[in-house]
Order: sequence, then structure tokens, then C-alpha cells
Amino acid sequence: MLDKKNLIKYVFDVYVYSILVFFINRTSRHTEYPVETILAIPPWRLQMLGTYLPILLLVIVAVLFGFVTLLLSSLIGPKKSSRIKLAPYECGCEPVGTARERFSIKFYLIAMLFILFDIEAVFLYPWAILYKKLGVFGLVEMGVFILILFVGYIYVWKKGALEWD
Amino acid sequence: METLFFLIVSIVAIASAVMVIACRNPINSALSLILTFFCLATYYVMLDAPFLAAVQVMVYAGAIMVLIVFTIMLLNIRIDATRRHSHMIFFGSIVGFATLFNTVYIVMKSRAATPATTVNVEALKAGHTELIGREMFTNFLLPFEITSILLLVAIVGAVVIAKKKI
Amino acid sequence: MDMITFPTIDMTPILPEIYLSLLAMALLLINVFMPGRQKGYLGYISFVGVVAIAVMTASGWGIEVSSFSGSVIQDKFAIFFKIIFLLSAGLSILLSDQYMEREGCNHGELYPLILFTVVGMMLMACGTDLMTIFLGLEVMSVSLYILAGFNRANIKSNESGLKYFLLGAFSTGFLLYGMALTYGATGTTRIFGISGQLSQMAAPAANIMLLAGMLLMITGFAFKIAAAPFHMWTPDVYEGAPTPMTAFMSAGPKAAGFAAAIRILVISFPALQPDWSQLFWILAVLTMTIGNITALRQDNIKRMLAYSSIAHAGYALVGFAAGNETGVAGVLFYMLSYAFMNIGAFAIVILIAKKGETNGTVQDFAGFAFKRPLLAAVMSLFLFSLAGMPPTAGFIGKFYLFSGAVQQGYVWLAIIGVINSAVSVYYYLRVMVFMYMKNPSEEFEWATVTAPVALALIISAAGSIILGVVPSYVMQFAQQAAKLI
Repeated sequence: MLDKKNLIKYVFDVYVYSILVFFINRTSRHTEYPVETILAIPPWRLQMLGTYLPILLLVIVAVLFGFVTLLLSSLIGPKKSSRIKLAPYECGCEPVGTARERFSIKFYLIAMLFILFDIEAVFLYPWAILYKKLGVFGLVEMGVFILILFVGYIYVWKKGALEWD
Repeated sequence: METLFFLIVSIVAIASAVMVIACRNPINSALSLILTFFCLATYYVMLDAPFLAAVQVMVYAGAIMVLIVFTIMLLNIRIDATRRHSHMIFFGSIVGFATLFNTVYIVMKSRAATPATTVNVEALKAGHTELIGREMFTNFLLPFEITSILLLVAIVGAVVIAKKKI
Repeated sequence: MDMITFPTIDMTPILPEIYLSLLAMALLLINVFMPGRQKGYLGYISFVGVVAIAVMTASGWGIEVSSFSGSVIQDKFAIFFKIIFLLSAGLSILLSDQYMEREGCNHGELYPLILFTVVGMMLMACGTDLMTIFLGLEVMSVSLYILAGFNRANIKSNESGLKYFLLGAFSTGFLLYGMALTYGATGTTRIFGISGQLSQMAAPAANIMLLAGMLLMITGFAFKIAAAPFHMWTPDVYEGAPTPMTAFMSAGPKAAGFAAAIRILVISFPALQPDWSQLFWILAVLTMTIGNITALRQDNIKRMLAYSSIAHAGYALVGFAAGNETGVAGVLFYMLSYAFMNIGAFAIVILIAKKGETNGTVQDFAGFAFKRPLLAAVMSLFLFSLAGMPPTAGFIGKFYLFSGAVQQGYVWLAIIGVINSAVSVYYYLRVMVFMYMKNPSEEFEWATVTAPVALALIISAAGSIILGVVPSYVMQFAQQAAKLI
């Protein structure tokens, strides 16, 4: 019963549940910051952590949706498996060869480029939060940052690395 | 309550980390690693470091995991082939435990040496991400700009190394 | 926490970096927008650019500016190293075209990557903040990984790039961990700030976190300068990489590693000098001995030069271990002369080798002197200089390094260095024996010397002789640059 696949699901369940417990008990949590001055959670902190509630809800809904659909289909759906039915679906054709083919290196190139521009996005984050206070100075500095990466983007584009050759 | 929550997340983190190295199928290992990353992100939130949590999810659980999964599919190691290198587990565990011991020792030792510092509540109020932004645009402006050069070099490198025709 | 005071920005210290980056980006764009596969002209553009930037950098001599709220500094130390980097890059660019044409590589991206490597190295030399130094090191390393694996058709080049990447990434991890611990112990990443914090500590040597940080940083830099016992990657990487890039790698990044390590240790950790000095004593002895003894057994000329480059890092570590002004000036001088003589030797190796990196053993030098007396004479000059014979640059460099050690009281270290130097004569002379005393094989065709390679040979030969005959002129600059504090 408790093989590895189920274990992952189980562990994930516990995880989600624990997050839930954490947020419910948030109010009674004692802070570790200068204990002499602040005994309860300061309101700003509560407010800050409260902003994670939607994320938590989203995670719960997503997980539940996945589980419920799988569970329902396995409970309600009829199961008459035959050899042909269990074969991997390949556009209705006869499946050829194994499903564990080697991937082309092309995927790898795309993934690497994705990571690099993803990291660029990470740097935009703190800038966006301070956008007003940083003003023109921040705009110029961020402009330089983006411009340098834009050179890379043009290079990649003109080089044809985004095409599927 | 916080301690309990911490313990639960830690158990999940350690369990999923063990799954990473215990799974026979590398794809399962990779998926467990995502769970580990999410646990780390939860720690960052608990430590009032939401920016790091966001980076952890965006970059590690998102982008880097994609790369790892692609690599696994690219190499497509047969499961029986992984058996042959099992003797490396011994050396790996020695190095791992040495590193663990080292870190714990250093942290304990220096914790005893320096008195507990009080947390700057004003700084916390301003928000972790905002503080990072401030430092990034004042004290660490130059390293920030160098990062773009580093990314550019990496882009060129990815194309030069991995593209079929250059 | 309301208003942000922006730093006043003085671009002076990083002007060379800015111009180099602009040039590299322009070359990248020219490379993709211009049709055709012959991209040799990019090499000429970048060489001219490197020369112009070198002149510009040198003109800043004596002007000391710190900028970006203490992230970078322009001082004589930084400028001296920047000139070394530009020199090694310029020479390697001159060698690249002929080599890449022979190997049939499409080398449009080669030149921008070399320039980016130089940008990274320069930031390591002028950075006064651990973050700046680390990012400079990363820019340098990432470019070098690509350059090592640039010849994609050659399996050895691929191996070289992969090995360099894996071990380099590992060593970067050490370095970063060390920097993090140092930051944790002192609360600052500015290297002047670290020394300030250290001077306030009662017993910095008892602070485990600080010591661990320093040790890990030393480990990271030891990887980068290929000091034993962290030298294992060097022979494979140097052998597989395209030869002009091997030449570049052995001269530039090694110097950059020394630049950053010297600046961090001498400025930030003077309080711990007795500790790191002893450590470098051991590293120097190990590096010299292992490098020289292993080089004795090498037949492949690139592997031999790789081990010799490990040994040379050991000689430079002697000056570093001394840690005084003479020693540091010796390191500066030695890195400059090493750039000349080593790149020169690699230029000859390029001329001897054939397509696919064949013909690269010491035996293939047989009879070189009968066919090409002039080139053989130049090669002998480089080998003499590498062996440290007067009146060449190598001799003077070693002289300053060892005298620095003696001044500091490390007499035994200097003696071990001299013995090692004597051992090294064997394998350098072996090449000369083959050149002058063996008969050439009949069917051999010697490659023609193109104009850029000839220019590179002339520059490096001239450098090796001038630094050896009239060293005082350059040495006074090195001594000024070595006054770090």
C-alpha cells in the first residue's frame, strides 16, 4: 500500500496540512524578536504574513483539485483494462519503440536560456518594489542592466538559437 | 506553535531529501527535490525573507528543476547502470557528514562567541525585499551591473556550447 | 527608512572594463549581423581595441580613485595587473586566428569571450569588495569554461571544458562559502571594512568562523591559480583546450587569481599574516615540487607546459608567502614576465602542431632547428626564460621572488625554490636537445608563420629579453604597485 508513489502523495498531504495549522495558529504565535519590548506578534508582522494566505489557499485548492479528480475518476469510472487499452496513446497509431527516448539537446539550450532570463526577472523584483523611491536613478541603472541583456537577446535571436533547427 | 510547525516542515524536508537519493527512478528523485525546495521556501518565509522564498520557488523549483529534468531525459540513464556506482555512496556520505559536522561546529562555536544581537525591527518593518533593493542600488550597485555581464556571457556560452550549428 | 541616498558614481576605476564590455558587445552584434563564416577580422578589431584600452589604462598610473562606495579602486596595483591581463589577451588574440582556421572552427564568438574574460579579471584586480571580486571571478571563469571547450569538433576540447567547468564550479563554491563566513564574522564585505573589524577584535585568530572563511577563500583561490594539491584539473584542461586559449589561461587568470588573493589577504587579513604566510609556505613547496617532478615525465608538450605552469605558480607563491613588498613586487614582475615567455612558448607549439591537435609531443620538435633556425632560437629563448637562466625575464623574476622570501626569513623556502628551478632545467633542455640534436623526420611540413603570429612572437621575445636585461625600469613600477597599504 505504502509504496514510494503513495509516500510522495502522503508526504505532500502532511505538508499542506502543516501549513494550514501554521496559519490557523499564527495569532497565538510568540515572536522571537526582542522579547522585552514585544510580547505579542506586532501587527505589521501579522499583516505581512497575512499576505501569504491567498498563496496558501491556492496551493490547497490546486492539490485538492488534483486529488479529487483522480480519486473521483478512479472511483466512478469503469475499469476494463486490456493490453491495447493500457498501451501508451500515440495518436491512435501503433506505439513504436520505448517511451524513454533520449531527449534532444535542443531542449537543453532552451531551458538554459530560460533560466538566464528568469534570473534577470528576479532582479526586476526588488526594483519594482522600490520603483517610486528609486526614481530616475533606478530607471537608468535598470536600463543599463536590461540593455546589456538585450544585447544577449538579439544575439540569441539572430543566431537562430530560438528556432527549431 | 512555531516550533511545532518548524518540526513538521523539517520532517517533510528531510523525508523528501532522503527520497531524492533513495528513489530508483531519477525523475522521482527530481520531483522529490522540488518538494525539498518548497520546504526551504517555507523556511525563508518563516525567517522573514520572502524575497529568498520567491527566488527559491521561481529559480530553483522552477527553472533549475526544468534543467535537471531535461538533463535526466537527455542522459536517460538505465536504472541498472546506476547500480555500478553504488560504492561512491560511502565516500559521498563521509564528505556529507564532514560538511555537516563542520557547519554545525562553526555555527555553535561562533554563536557562543558572539552575544545575541537584537533584531532591527525598523528594518524588518520596511520589508526584506525593499532592503535588498536599497542595497542593490546603493552599496552593491556595481556588483548588480556586473551580474548582467555574467548573464550575457552565460547566454553566449549556452549558444556556443549547445547549439547544433554555430 | 524613507529617502535613499544614491552613491556618487565615479566611473574612472572601471572605465577599461566599460570600454572592453562595449567592444565585446559590439563584436557580438557584428558577428551575428555580418554574413559569412570568415570572422578573422573580428580578431584584428579586438586586438586594436585591446591595445587602445591598454594605453588608456596605463595613462591612469598614479591617479588613485575609489568609487561605487568602496566597491572598486583604481590604484597602481590594479593598473599593473590590468596591463598584464590586456597583454596576455592581446597576444592570445594574435595567435587565435591561425589556429582556429587550421582547426576549422567558426570563431566569431571567441574574441568577445576573450574580452569578457579580461573584464572579469580586471574586476578581480580592482575590486575592493568581496562581491565585486566574486562576480569578476565568475565572469572570468564562465568565459574560460566556454573557451576551453570552444573547439567543439575535438573530443579533448570538450573534455577540457567539462572538467574545467565541474572543478571550477566546485572551487567557486569553496570561495563563496569562505566569503559568506567572513561576512558572517565581520558583518561587511568591503575588504577595508574587514581589516577594520579585525583590528577591533581581541583575538581574531581565535574566531573559528573567520579562520574557516579565510581558509576556504584560500582554497578557492588555490584552485584558480592551480596550486598543489588543488592542481589536478590543470594538465587535462590545458591539454584539451585550444592552444591559444591554453596560453591565455596559463597567463591571465593565474595572474588574476594572485591579484585578488593578494589584495584580500594583505589588506583584509594582516592580523592573521603569520597564519596564512605559513600556509602559503607549504602550498609553495608542494606546488613547486609536484609541478616540476611530474613535468619531468611528460612527453606531450602541452601537458609538460601545464605542469611547468603549476611549478611557476609555486615560484610566485614563494613571493606571496613572504608577504612583504619585495615579495609582492616579485609576484607582479613574475606574472608579467610569465605572460611573455609562456605565451611565446605556446605560440611555437601552435606552429608545430597540425590539424586536430596532433603532432604535439616533445619528439615532434626533432630537427626543428635545422628547418627553422630562427623560430628554434626564439623557442630556446622562451625555454631559457622559463627555466630561469640569466639574462632572461624568468631569472630576474625568480631572483626578486626568492630575495623577498629571504628578507622575510624564509631561507629554506628560497633554497627549495632554487633546487626546484634546477630540476626544471632538465625538461626544458630536453625540448632543446630534440630541436638541435635530433634529425627531422622526412615527410614533415612546417606551418607558415602568419603576420599576427609573427607579431606575437616578436612581442613576447622582446618582452622576455628586455625584462631580463633592463629589469629595473619595469621593476620600479612593480615596486610602486606593491605598496598596497
